[in-house]
Amino acid sequence: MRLFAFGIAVGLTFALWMFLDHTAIGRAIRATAQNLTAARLYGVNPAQLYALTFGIGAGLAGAAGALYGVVSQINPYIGATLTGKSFAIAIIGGLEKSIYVLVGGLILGVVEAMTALYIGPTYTDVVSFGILVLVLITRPTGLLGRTA
Amino acid sequence: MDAILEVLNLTKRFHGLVAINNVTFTLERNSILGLIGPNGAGKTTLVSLISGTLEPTQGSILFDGTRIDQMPAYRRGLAGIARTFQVMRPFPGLTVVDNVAVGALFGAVKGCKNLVAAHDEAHRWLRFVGLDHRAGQRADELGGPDRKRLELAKALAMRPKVLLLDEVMAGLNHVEIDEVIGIIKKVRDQGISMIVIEHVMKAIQSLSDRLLVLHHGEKIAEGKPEVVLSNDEVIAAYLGRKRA
Amino acid sequence: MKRKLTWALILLVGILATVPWWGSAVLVQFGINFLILATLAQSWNIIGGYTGYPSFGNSVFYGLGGYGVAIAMVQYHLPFAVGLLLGVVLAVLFAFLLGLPVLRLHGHYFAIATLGLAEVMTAIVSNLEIAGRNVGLVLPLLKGDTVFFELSLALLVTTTIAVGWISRSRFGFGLIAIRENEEAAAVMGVNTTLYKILAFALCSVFAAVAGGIHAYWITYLDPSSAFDITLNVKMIIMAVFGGPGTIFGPVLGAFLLSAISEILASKVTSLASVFFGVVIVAAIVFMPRGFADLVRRFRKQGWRYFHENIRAHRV
Repeated sequence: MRLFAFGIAVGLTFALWMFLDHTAIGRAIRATAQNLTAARLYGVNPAQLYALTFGIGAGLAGAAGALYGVVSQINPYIGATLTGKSFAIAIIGGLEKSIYVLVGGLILGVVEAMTALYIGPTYTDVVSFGILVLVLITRPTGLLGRTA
Repeated sequence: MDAILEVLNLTKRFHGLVAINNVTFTLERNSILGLIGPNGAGKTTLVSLISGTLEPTQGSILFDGTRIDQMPAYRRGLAGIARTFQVMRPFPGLTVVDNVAVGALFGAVKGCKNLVAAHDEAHRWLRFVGLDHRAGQRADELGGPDRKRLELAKALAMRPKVLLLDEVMAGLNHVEIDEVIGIIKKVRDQGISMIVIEHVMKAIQSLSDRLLVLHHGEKIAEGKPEVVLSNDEVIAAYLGRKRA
Repeated sequence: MKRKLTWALILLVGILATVPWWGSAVLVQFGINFLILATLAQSWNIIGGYTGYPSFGNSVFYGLGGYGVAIAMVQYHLPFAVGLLLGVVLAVLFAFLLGLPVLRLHGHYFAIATLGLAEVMTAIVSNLEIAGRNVGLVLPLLKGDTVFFELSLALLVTTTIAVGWISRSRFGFGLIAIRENEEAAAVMGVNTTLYKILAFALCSVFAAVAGGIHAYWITYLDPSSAFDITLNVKMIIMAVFGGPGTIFGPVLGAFLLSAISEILASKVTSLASVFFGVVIVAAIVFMPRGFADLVRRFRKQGWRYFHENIRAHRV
């Protein structure tokens, strides 16, 4: 069952990557992120686009919540703690492609498990967020992203 | 004539690209050096290297005998180097007079110590460039030519010894160009040495005591205007083929 | 500042100081909470409003202040004042040491980095023996809310005076210049690194004292409440709601939002948070530059002010 959840998560990441890289709307989103004015000149409607992007993000978050319920307990407050972690994963992996985020998640997951095993379970947050701060200071584009 | 600014073997590399290649020249005290060359030659890069916005890969810059190439930008400002930006950088949310006041407050070691004195100084420089009537407006409400004057006033309020002007005349019509030429001459009369980047030939010829020509990041000519402007290489690179 | 305004403010502070003697216990408690939050909002104002660096890490200073007091009083049996001093020293050290690398980032990255720092500190402190690990520390009890009310009031007044001084000083001008255009400020002679760190350290002082007072008042401290991340959101919302970069904006914002939150909690208990959220969103849409800006511009523009804000933010 957990493998199934993992599979779906990977599948969604892949789907997002395909969407952003290979569809017209995906291109529009990336273009708007890089240069709003130019994108408008090419016919992008920013308001609609932002709404769409926010919606996709919300949808993915919802899916994540559902998948999280498969592997762990859920209560109304997990949103807050997970939000912080998701920031860390996205930044550490790199904001350029969705695959980077996937790798970031894997890296962080392994690091946390290792920390829990060798140092102590209460130190996982220290390590995760410590790495986040270090990455931001030294390589803000993420471990995998191109240096700006 | 002594040199107030000496640039020696200055090189700047951006990863693979060599933007400035082994450039050496001097700026004499109380003189105006015109910096010309085709777009992309590295003129703004050179000015950024002198003002401290960029750090050199190799070479040195001497200001009044002191090495400044390793100093952070703000210390060079304090030492007496001021510049205007080609892509103008006002403080958008502040009023025109506040913009200039920043220069008065921070630009020199003997700068103003309190806001009142700074505002007086600011008004003085705004009058100098002819912008005092807009003192209370927000900086981002100004139009193009006024923004250029604001840039100039901000730099002047720092009481610099060396002023680096980056295309202050771009986009101005003939009348406005003559006005700015007049202002720059007034600045020189104040004893400020200048490096002026310009494409407007009329301005370059009437202002410059000496000329420096850059092409692909290299100096291809330096000297008196009449000599440089009739140099074959300069003509080929920048001025266009000589008219018969 | 105009004479009349100054006297009116002094009078107001004087009246507020007497509240514990005629107000109900609930009012006094609301007062203390509001005063502490207002101090936090005001301290954020220094680094966020004036310097333009949106810090999500001020909760660290607050927590360090609280733990400074707790550790001093519980582990070493030192008086409260010494505890406050310890908290401030810890906070300022943190601001200097971690401010240096983190202040090199800009905008969103800075915000996330400070948020990361806040999370790291929470996690680190919950592992420290001297801080009582996850269980926390219990402080000695000082009966009576009056002392805490007056202390908090004094703190808010001090912080506001500090912000007032900043807004007319050369230092403050430099901070504003950094906010408006950091590169231009640097070229014009502002030592941006030094100024940013000083601003950060200054706001750490006030946040730490606030944390210390709060810890002693509640008499109990544990990592998640001391380094409460949501405090960051609260103080930023209050400062931005009231008007960032102004002297009284954060205080006004803190007061209005605290009051609204209290009223909603007592009248509409179940959906209080929902309504609060609605208020925040409405505020962002209709008055994004804060309440202070609204007050200033409304006189000139009337209802058109809201219209223009909506139009200005339409993408």
